Amino acid sequence: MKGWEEDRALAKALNEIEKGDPPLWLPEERRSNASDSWVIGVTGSPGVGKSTLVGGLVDLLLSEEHEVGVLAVDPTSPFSHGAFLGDRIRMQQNSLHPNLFIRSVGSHDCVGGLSESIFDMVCAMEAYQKKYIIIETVGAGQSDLDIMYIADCILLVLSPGSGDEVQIYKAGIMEIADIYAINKSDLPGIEKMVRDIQELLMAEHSNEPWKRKLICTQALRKKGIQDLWASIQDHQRIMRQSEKANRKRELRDRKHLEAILQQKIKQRLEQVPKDLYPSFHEHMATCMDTWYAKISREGEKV
Amino acid sequence: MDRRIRVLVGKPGLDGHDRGAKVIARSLRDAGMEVIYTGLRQTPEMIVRAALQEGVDVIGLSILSGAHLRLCERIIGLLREHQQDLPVFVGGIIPQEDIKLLKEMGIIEVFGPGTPTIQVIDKIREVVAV
Repeated sequence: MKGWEEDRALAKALNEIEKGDPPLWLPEERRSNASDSWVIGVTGSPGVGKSTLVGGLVDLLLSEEHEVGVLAVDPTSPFSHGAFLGDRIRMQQNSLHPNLFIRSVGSHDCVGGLSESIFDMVCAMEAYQKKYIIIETVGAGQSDLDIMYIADCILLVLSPGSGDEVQIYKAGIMEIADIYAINKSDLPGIEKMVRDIQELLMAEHSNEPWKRKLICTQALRKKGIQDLWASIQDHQRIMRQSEKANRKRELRDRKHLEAILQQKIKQRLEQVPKDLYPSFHEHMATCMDTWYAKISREGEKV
Repeated sequence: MDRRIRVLVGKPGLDGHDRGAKVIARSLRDAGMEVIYTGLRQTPEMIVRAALQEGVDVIGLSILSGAHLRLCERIIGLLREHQQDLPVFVGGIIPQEDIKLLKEMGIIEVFGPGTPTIQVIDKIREVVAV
């Protein structure tokens, strides 16, 4: 059966990445394919319909014979370090399609809505010639923004009834979207939400080549998915024409390097024997006392 | 970095009751495992492909429909065909006389109703540690 053989190799690479042991061939192998790939980040609050929307997009992409990879991130428990990864459930229709690879990922210790190994995982998908790579973040809060460092296109999924227009003007996640998808657009409150976001978009005076778009969808009924896909393609074309796409990739490489360094530092810290900590705490306490004393002395002088 | 034990919890066949599967999935999560839940009404092909893509260490199947012999035979067959020698557990309503048949087929363990979840957790840890 076509597809299964490659799946096994890609799954093995992803397992090695999760073990903190990325295959060394990855960066080179990837470079030759990376220029063809397009990474779509799908983010938004829990329950707005990200997975269902991704499922709809996947079906459309497969019908156009693209190679598709999905990385679906769900939260890891801060208590047990376990996870319940349930995004696959919404992506069933083509789960046996040879051109589709879905991988569920726990967020582990990462706080930005993704997982620390996500950069390596995207590289692995590129090395296995996935043309469209869709990353679904955890149900995101206003400042879960890491997706902006990795995706070429960011899709923010919203749904009616999630606050008044003040929420729309807040900084953070609302700013990073390239495309807003208002899902569950059959629910009450949709007209107002569309109006508010249109106002937000009209008030924008940027010199960016891409003007942000708003699409209404009903993922469960497969409505609006075609429009969404058309917008994603428009965005891709404009970003590539304007060289902006290249600059985003440079940013991604830099962030990838940072992530590798952070992981290395973390691994080193984990190697510090635990019995060193008590003396370390004592040392810290002394330092803090000295600092606070110094600050208050300086304060008295003024 | 320690990789967590990854478990695929699957519901093959046509029964539409996944309370048990969810209870198990949650207990495994609380025991520090990463659980991928497939949802209801999966074919053996869907389960094996998901297990392969997800790179899991163990598969747990929940079956209440009575079709456990056919479903497990097919799943074990597909796993072998794709050289995925993964341990498979079964939970659900399984008649006593079929447990032996399932084990002969290659199913590691069968957990009936009322099994303490710690027993499932311990067994998974034991099998994965080998």
